[in-house]
Amino acid sequence: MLSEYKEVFLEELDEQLQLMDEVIMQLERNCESGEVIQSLFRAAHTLKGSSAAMGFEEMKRLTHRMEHLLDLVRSKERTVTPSMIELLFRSLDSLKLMKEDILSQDCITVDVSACLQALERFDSEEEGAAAPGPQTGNPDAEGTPAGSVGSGAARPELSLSIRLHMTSALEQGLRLSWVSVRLSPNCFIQGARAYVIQTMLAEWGEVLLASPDYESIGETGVDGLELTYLYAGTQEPAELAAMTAGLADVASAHAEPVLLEETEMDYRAAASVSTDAAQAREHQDHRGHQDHQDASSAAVAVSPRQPASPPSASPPSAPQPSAAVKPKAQTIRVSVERLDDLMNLVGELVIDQTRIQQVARTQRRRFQDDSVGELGHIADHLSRIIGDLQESVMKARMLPIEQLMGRFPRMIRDLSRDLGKELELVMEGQDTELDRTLIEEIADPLIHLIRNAVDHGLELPEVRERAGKPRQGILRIKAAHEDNQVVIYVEDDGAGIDPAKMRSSAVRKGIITQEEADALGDREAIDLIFRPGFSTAQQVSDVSGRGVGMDIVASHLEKLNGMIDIRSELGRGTTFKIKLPLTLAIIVGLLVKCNGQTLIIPMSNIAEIVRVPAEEIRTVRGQPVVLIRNQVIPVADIRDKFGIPGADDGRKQIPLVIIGSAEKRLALTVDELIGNQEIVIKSLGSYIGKVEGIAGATILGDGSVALILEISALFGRMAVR
Amino acid sequence: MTAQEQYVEFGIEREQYAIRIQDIHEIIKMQDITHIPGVLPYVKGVINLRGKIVPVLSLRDLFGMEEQPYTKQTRIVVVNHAVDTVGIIVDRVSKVTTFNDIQAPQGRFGGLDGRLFTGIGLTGGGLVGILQLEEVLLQD
Repeated sequence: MLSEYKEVFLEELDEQLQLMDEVIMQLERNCESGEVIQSLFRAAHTLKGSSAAMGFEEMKRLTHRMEHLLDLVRSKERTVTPSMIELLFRSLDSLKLMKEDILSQDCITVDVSACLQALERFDSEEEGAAAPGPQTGNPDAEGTPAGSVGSGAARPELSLSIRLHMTSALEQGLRLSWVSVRLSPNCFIQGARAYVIQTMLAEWGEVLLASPDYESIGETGVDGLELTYLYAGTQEPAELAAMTAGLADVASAHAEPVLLEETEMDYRAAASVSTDAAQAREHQDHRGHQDHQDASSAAVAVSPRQPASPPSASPPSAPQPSAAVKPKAQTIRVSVERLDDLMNLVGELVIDQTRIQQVARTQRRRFQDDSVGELGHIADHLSRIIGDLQESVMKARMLPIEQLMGRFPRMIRDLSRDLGKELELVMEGQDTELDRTLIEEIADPLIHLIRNAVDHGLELPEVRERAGKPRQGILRIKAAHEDNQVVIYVEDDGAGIDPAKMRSSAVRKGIITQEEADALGDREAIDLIFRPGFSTAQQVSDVSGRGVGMDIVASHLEKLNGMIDIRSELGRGTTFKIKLPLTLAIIVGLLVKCNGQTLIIPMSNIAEIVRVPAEEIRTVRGQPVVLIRNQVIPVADIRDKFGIPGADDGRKQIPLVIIGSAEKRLALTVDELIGNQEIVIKSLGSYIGKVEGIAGATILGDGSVALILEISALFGRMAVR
Repeated sequence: MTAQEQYVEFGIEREQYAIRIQDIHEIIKMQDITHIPGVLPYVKGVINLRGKIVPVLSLRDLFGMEEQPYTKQTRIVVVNHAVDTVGIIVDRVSKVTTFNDIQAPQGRFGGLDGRLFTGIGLTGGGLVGILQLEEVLLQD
């Protein structure tokens, strides 16, 4: 049964870990911000709850310790120090390793004892050194398994059902108030007293929530027990306070209106809670329990638990947590599989729609009939709707690239520290959306580019100063949409790439001969960086996890039908530009014709389309080339590549499609350019299997099958390069 | 195998072959085939079967016979093969039939490896080679 929730858990884990990463970095910059500590505390608490629920004991213990330490910081018993930050980072890294373990083998093998000890040391140092009351606001010892941190003054979490009640109460024009009552220390039978108070409140209105519930209060309770009620009715808060304060054994009473945002629903909370857990919770909430063990809902709790406030401070008006939480878009979680299915269905529709369009056109040419005209209208309307549908489904699969970029600051921080570099990270366009699968696929190459920029691009501070540059380098990561594609820039203002050094290094490594090197232009020399065996990274870094070279970056991008461009200026810096299709399922393709056969070139692989006079195609050392914008590009005939019959027909103007894969460029000659079209990539099936040079096929408007070229494979067949 | 199982009988050249009816998806007329470069010669290409891309192969080519221009009688027998659907081009489709007598294939049948057949059906019209699809569609 666990596997069902494991996915939800892992997703939540991912979210929380990334959040923690960000927050610890914030903490490092801006030490004592209560809000920051609060959100970190909340994340640790959430993970503690969910890991306990999933039975990951080690993770629970670690998060529990972290939570404890953060609680001390929160209650100002401990100040944030660099070593504490370091320790938090270390703990976080252990959590990440645990996540990997859970992913790969379903159990945790990470040894966290060192981490736990260090965390405990922090705690105990504190308890010895500061704080007069050693147990102040800190009732969680090993005795309370779930480690509840706040005490009775905490504002209880609001379950979905309570929120619904709250909303409907507001709609009926009732007032919602938080009523907190502190029982006097010498109160004898607290449970009975609580019962009386609750009954009284219920007479004036409705008690939506009581915390703690009178049933759960033992006869020998805590001194000065504090009770919190959520009241819905016609009474003013002031009246409520006055009336409850008048009851026997009540030391103090306070009431205040419920803030509007507290009633706001968080559908995501509802969706992420597994059903039976949710039912259990609702049940619990009705009885006024706070079940700290509950996992899933805590993740997105709108109103987090507050630290125990001193008795005198007006208890329920503790800092309003809801203000700190940004209003979230209402979302539900859907499995990617379902979206994939949906996308496939839309793909089928797109194909049929182009066919209907074509049939409608043919009919119009053939017949003069009202019904034919109508068919045309319907076909147009249908294609608009299908277009919208396709866009919506595509959008549903898209995620902001922030998902990925959010990981970078921490990574870059660690990296620059290890390498002794000083740098400022500028990130732009985090809200750029792209297909979820692409985000996963692009992570490794991007991380490698960044690593490369920090390691090889940016100079050491002293070197920079000598070169008359500011000590701090700038690393800019920018994402944007450009004509239905995603472009990502990784830009540094470092030393730049020296073409001369590239040439000599490539010759030394035996990648090219001296003659070849001499023949290379500066641009091509820089492109040598993508050759296998060239990568200059000597040491294996633990950042990317594997010591890969730039050739791996290139081959990754090839797989994704992407392109990469380098612009580098010696002494000024280097820019990598990555171009990717928005999605992998439906692509925009250029239809070209060769000897009657229609072929499709993915748009994301097209750098430009030109028409050149035949004589501009020259032959250099047996290889036809063309000079376009000062770049020498090899020329290939698409017919040769695919064994299509037909030869040069002696045309004066030749259409050339400049295609690119990663850093490589090639000009393909074609017979005829037909136009762009959205196409759905279909596989040729397992019987035919993978065919070199063919990415798949699609069905055109006339019902025929057209092959989609696999651009990356075309380069493999080139004699030159 | 019961002798009363139903088969679809079809022919190339002057020979008759059959496939168990439950292995057959459908039988269609000749279609435009999109050629795919760089595949085995008997794989003629792919067709669009109501939105599904289906590879087609020529039984003539597969059995080492000379290719002939397609005629009005030419049919594509679409069969289910594992997870895939594959079309087989034949000269003609004759009928749905049953065999009263099926004999085990000898070493060879009409110049072809006996392993390509599950059996030889005897009918009034002569011998019919019952194809062992797994073996016929096996690629090497």
